[in-house]
Amino acid sequence: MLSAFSRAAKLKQWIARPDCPAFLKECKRYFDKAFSTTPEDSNHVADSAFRTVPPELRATIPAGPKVAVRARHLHDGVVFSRSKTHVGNSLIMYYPDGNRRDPPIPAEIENIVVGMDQRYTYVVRRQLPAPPGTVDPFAPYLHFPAKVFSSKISSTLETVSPEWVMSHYARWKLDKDRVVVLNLSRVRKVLRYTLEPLSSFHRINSAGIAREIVQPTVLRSSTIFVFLVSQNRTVRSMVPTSPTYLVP
Amino acid sequence: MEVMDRIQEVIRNTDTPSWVESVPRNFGDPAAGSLKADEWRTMTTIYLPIALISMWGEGTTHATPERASFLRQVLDHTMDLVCAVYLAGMRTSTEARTSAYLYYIKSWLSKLQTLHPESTLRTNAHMAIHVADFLRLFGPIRSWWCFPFERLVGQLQRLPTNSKFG
Repeated sequence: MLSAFSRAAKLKQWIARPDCPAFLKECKRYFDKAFSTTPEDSNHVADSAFRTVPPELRATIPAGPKVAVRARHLHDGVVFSRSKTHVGNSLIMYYPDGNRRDPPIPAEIENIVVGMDQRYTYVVRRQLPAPPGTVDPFAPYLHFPAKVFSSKISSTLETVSPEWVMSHYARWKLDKDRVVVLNLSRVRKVLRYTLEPLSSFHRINSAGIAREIVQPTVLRSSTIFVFLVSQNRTVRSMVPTSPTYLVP
Repeated sequence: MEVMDRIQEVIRNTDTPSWVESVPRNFGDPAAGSLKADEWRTMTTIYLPIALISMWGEGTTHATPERASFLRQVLDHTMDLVCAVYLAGMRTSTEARTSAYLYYIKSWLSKLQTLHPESTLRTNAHMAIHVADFLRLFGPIRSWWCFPFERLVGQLQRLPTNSKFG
């Protein structure tokens, strides 16, 4: 049984490789069809599902002849749902316009629409930022990517292409005005901090908390960061960074 | 227990996507049993930190300033471990993350017996430091962790037997 297990593991790994022969991949597809217990989730929408754009979406969806409204969408192996269907699967961190230089924004998928060209679009409402001056107890822990937001979601609808989505997020209601947004991405570095005035470095230092600052121009490399360690009051650079940046 | 109530409340009321595995809603009760490794991971990276920071973090109020400061120290100490687990569990690894992991795990270990005098250092703590070496040598933990073998053990355990060896 042990050897069958490891043989199966090796086979799975081989099929997952990009250089695996197409023939084998085809075999797997048929094998899954015949024996898999979970039905193959297809994103293809039948022609009969298309209707005229619902009135509440007319202002958001570019004028097109017909669209189909879906409850969920399987993208890159992950299920995304509208909030009415499954709130947890509808919470997404996304890069507006697919621009990965700016930090991702949390939003709730309200609707999933499909165009006649079978292109999926999420219609979302952003989670509003917490009002200025709100205490964010999560801010000191730089490697725990949680942040306080307002419990309200935006009144305006926006459209998001599935490719702009970074990951899901977890949300917990802290009190009536605030929610905690925890980015669940296990891959990309979460960039929450930008360069701040010198005074705030000192404030953070004396509070005894390590904190990370990221230089906006090097965001794409996503590994360059500076660690401020308070106990010995030294600035420790984990990887070389630009000198203009180590001002303190 | 106010703390356990808060943790259970966070487990119950956090909206998570369906790929996040569930943990027992009655975590901490005898009936819940002990958590499995993967459930601990979910607890440590999602529910525990949210619950503890919301109770002991900046902006919370406590009976005395001493109490507040002590709880904050306990929280910061726990968060060292949370951040270490979080960094180690990433699906990509970089030298910066590995160094940060080492920083957190060392910081957590060095303060453990000061903040929790009743605790004893175990071999696991020593092993946790070596995880940094393995991250450097073998890359993301996902490619060398023991969950596949655990799955095999599970399959073997579920085999029907007549409870006799051989």
